[in-house]
Amino acid sequence: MAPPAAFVTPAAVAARRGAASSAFAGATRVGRPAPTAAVAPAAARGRSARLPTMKVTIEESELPNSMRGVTIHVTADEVAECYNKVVKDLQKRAAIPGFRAGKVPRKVVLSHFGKATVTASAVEEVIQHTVQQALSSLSVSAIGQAQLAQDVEEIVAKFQPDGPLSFAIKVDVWPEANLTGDYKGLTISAEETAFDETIVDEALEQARRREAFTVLSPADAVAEEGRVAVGSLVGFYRNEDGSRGEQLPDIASGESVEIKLRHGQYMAGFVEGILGMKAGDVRDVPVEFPAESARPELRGVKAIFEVSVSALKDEVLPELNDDFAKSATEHATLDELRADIRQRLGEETDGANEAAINKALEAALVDITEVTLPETLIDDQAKNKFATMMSDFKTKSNMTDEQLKSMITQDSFAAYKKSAHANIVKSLTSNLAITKIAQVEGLEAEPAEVEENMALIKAELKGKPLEDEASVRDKVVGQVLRQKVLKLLKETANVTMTPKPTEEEAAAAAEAAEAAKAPVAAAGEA
Amino acid sequence: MDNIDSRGLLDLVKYPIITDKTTKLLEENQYCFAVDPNATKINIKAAIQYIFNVQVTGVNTCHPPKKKRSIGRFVGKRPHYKKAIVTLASEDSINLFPET
Repeated sequence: MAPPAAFVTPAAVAARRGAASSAFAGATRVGRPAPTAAVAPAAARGRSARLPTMKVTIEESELPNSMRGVTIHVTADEVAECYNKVVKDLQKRAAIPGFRAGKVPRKVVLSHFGKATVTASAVEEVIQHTVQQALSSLSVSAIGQAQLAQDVEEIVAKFQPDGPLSFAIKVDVWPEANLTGDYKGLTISAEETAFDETIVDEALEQARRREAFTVLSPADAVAEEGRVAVGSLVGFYRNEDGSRGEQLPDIASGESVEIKLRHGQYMAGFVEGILGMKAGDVRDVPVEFPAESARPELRGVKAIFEVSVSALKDEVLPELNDDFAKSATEHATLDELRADIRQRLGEETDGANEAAINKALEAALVDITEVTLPETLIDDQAKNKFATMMSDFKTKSNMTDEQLKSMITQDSFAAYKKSAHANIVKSLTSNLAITKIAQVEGLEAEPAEVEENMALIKAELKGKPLEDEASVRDKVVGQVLRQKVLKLLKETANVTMTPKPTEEEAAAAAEAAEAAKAPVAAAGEA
Repeated sequence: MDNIDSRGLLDLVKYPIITDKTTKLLEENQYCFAVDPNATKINIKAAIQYIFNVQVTGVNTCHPPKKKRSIGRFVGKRPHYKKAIVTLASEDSINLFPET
């Protein structure tokens, strides 16, 4: 800082003059008072892409928590190049009073912005260019952003425009799962969702009703449930005192109508009012139209129907036998029909059972897996899930964008992350374990299978172009692999199915789950 | 030169003028300063030699035109200074950019 014949007043003179009396002391004045030096970094940004790729040598070291320490050595030449680039760029951009744009001499630029600022942006430049390079030449794949392992100030202090530079960074890497136990022959118990056989019977019963036919009842038959009354209807408004009012519009009347006498078939009180009538009877039946009636003018109307029954018929359900199966469906025998219904209805329960087994397998895997998860990975997952939750929330509750935005705050995310932490760790662990097993077993996703899934996804989009195909493909490959591993695990595991808890137990469990979820909801509402 | 009072010399020279034009002059070993409007060429030479410990071979001066500036309805002019272009002996130089 003391060059020969510098523009610095001799010490004795400076003391006489006092620091503020003239502009000579310290920094050089450039024409008018210089703008603040803070302009420099802003001007120095935005030109990262123009430097050629730099040659760097790196040293790797293991750090705890699945982190890598990397020391990056940059040669003097590269540093000089970077430094010159920064200065040149400043020369081009700087607007210094007294100079035409782009014609500022190098010296003036340096003294205008101050050496410290220029150095700092040069360091930033070097770091920006070398870190990416260093990360790509790492032996393992890095995730998230690299961090400087030392203070920037330290690096800046070390920096020489024409000397080599080395600095240390740290970065999270994909953790490797360590399987502490044997993943083959896991003993798990999964909840079984039992198939309800009564559903099949109900389905058959419904089919019978559809196929029902009617025969005339004996002459002295009385209207009762299960029969069909044939007769005519005339509808009237009902007055407060229960007497007839004006006639209802046409739609509620009719001649020789078939009335199926089944509870809940028509409006309230209608079928009940007809019960007990005989052929030839005429009766006033008070009814009330439901509030959600299809005809707006009839909603909630109290009415009286004059019903005259001309005949009663018996409803006859076809017998459940092979003939019925043949006439009502394309199945040859009743057993076939039953099996078909069972299979169609059983898919749901099968899926539930499968999911339960997979869940149990994953839980068992998590128990035998040792892995240290880097915070970035958890953070990423939490962010993804939070975003999904929020968009679900939006579609469900019909909120405006502003309302939604007001819900997305640092605090709410922090709360969500805290509550979801355990789950995320669990799912990440099981995923890593599955990847590891796939590696150990040498399993690979078959291209044909992947293509098939990709085609399905594309078909769902209906001709819209697929955004980011590569990442979708990655996901599909992951899913296919995952299914394979789970299949392998399932084949080797001892699976015991336990019956599903009764409804009371389930309710209690749901309550417990609800209590556990409460913080999440709170986070959502915050 | 001996009869010049060195006590006033420091306040004579205000600051170096660094612009596009004056940096070109540097190549001819000429330096440009804003000086007191009343300073004479003799005083300026003495001041520069005293402050920077260099040999001055020539001094040219001029009064740059006044520049009006108005703030609202008040019209005034910018502070006035005399511009001095000082030629140094070829072996001497002044470092105007001490930081580099």
